[in-house]
Amino acid sequence: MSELVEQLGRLPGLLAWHVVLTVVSVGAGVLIAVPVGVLGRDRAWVRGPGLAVASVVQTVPGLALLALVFALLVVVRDVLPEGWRFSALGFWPTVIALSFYAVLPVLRNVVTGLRGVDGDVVEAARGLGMSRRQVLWRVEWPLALPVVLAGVRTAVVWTVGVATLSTAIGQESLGDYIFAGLQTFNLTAIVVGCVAAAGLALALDAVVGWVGRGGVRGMRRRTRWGLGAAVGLGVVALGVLVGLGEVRWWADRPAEAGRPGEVFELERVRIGAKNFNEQFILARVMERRVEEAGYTAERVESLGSLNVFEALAAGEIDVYVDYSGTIWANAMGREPGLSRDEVLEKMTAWLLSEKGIVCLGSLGFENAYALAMREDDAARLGVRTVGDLVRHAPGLRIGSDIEFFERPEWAAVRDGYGLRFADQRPMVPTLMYPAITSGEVDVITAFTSDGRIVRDRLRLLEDTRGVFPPYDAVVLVSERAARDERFVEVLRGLVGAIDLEVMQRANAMVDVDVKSVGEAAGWLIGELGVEGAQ
Amino acid sequence: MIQWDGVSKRYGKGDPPAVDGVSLSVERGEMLVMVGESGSGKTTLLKMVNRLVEPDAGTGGVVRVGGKDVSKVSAEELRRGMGYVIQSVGLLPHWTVAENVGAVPGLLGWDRKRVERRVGEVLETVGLEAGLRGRLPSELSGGQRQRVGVARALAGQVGGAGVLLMDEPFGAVDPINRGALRERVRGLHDELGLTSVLVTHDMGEALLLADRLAVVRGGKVLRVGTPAEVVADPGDPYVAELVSAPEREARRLAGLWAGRPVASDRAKRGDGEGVIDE
Repeated sequence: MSELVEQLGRLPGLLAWHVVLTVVSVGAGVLIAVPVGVLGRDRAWVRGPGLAVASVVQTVPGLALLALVFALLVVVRDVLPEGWRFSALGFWPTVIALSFYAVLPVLRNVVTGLRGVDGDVVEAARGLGMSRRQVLWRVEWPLALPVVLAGVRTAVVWTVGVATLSTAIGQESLGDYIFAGLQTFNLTAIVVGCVAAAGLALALDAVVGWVGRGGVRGMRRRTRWGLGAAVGLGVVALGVLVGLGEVRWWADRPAEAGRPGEVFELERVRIGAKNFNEQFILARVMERRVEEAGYTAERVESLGSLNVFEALAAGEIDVYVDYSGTIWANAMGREPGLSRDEVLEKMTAWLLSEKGIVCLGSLGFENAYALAMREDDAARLGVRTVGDLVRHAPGLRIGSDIEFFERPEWAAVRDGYGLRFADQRPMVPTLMYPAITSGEVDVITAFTSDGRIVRDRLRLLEDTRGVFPPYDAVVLVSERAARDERFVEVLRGLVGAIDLEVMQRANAMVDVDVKSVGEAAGWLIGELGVEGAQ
Repeated sequence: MIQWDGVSKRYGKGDPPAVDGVSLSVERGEMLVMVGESGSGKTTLLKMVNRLVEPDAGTGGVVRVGGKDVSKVSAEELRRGMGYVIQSVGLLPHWTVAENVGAVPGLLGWDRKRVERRVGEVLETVGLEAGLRGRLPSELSGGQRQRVGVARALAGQVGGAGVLLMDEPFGAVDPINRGALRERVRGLHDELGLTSVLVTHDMGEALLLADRLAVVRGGKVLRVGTPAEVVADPGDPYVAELVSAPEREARRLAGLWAGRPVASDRAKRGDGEGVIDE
């Protein structure tokens, strides 16, 4: 019950953001779709490409579109003049992507609605002496409006749904409940998020439906137009205000300040986190550290692996924790085979020269990918190493986190050992453990710092050929933030301060003991304090 | 007042001409009825007057209204100056009766008070209660809708030099009300001194309403004349056949009053042809 109360406490803020995102995006979608639809009604060369582009956009998965828009905005932002730059995370990429989504249903219905107007009515209107424009806006448009509004309703419902994905690019929304809930297997959070999103979709749909019924009948034409104009201006104003707020926010981050040799202080710190619990815990630990040192901090969580690295490279976030092997294999595209220290050293040099990112060093533990089996299965089959698994793999199923099968590490393991499994199942990391204990899968790609390995009696298989690279948890700081020497010193205090056992216990608090991320972070900071006192 | 001077129209390349070199005129204050089958070209001729259809260029054909070549006048100005009544919907379904009737005055830029007054006048002229002003077309009967259509066509016309174009204006009206509405329209035409062109496929209607009628077929005018002239001398087998139909009907009906059975009774008894004509 207290869990529900705690979750509901976040509702007003997240719901408000979700409403803003939906209203602004659908509004922008309508502003694009209506002119294209009106122009395209009689012009196949406008209509055809317009509908085709909108349809193609529609087939791009929501998360992919958000990531693409983010990448595009990073490029656009850097060519804009100073003062007009905006953050490529959060509000803008979300609104742009969602607007694209909203265009198709509205555009399709504008075209269908206008083309569906009875030709006799149009001819009668022309016969009265109306100009083409008068026929369009006084006759065809009002008659097409119910169909257009049906399209707007579809757009609203879709947009509310897709907006939940914006969490992945650092925008607050009801999706925060769902992403975080999936991560921590918090059913209350998931249910609150889904119910709130569904309720919002129904409510907004009903509002547009009511406007449609009231707009076609019952109101004087002037009132109707006045109301329409007021709502339209309101939406535009909302978009501009929030949008400019974002620009302002960015402008407050003086990019020119802190040239080498000057004293530079970050005003606000943005701490990034990928989408799993260890990252949430470490983000809070860093947040506490920098806040204690007098900084204002903000966490941007549940970013995808690639998004978070690009966000740091682009200066969208100031700091986050990554793992050396991930950067080694993914960003650098290198082969495994080097020692832990060699990888760390070469990676640090590469990050600085290629991306301007400063690697402060390892926190003191590795969170490596490792194949794991149920202890009893492993004993029965006599599997101790990955090599032992090769013979049995064709009869086994492997489960992994969503990105693993796309990562070079998987290709390396698969080809390095010649592993062929009966089935590959990607899933959110939290679900891997119930999946293996319940026998849904036989092998998982566990993380070595995970507290659930011990709880679930899993055996980690030894990588005798060294196919997996080392995965030291490293603190990465953006080029800009690295100019603030005090900030760097504060974080450097964490280097070497967390050993594997401490991290496993902190992770287990959340994953096994169902404590909150905040509690685990608090406990971990306490442990640091003891070490710091030594 | 209205002249078609050697006009032609072909809708698509290779199609037979919808209108083929027609010359025809309507005098001021006259009602010309164009009668013919679907596809004969009568509606095309009518629409050339308000430029909803343009005659083919390069054939030298001209349409004149009041002596002016209509192609030299802005189409919108031209249309606002004449009433136009069409059979099917015609009324704008999302506008009330008052809004529909006030459409042309509104387009002419009259102030609201004057539009309101004018709407009241013309509704009275066509015999519609003022209580219907706020109704939508879908809430009216077929006869009421048609009267609104006529009222709308009249609303912009002031001064008595008006032109009224009607395309099957009574087609959607039930037969019981049709006769009365016809009388009403003919009465208004006379009262207001309008110059009218009416298109119909009903020869009986044409004969009853017209000052002069024009029989149209295959894009050509076969016969023009007063009803009496056309009946007395059809001058063409097709025209003769067309005028004979209402004549036969009229005779049968007249026979009914004289105590003779009509066709349906005769068919039931299995009698042969030509009973009435004996």
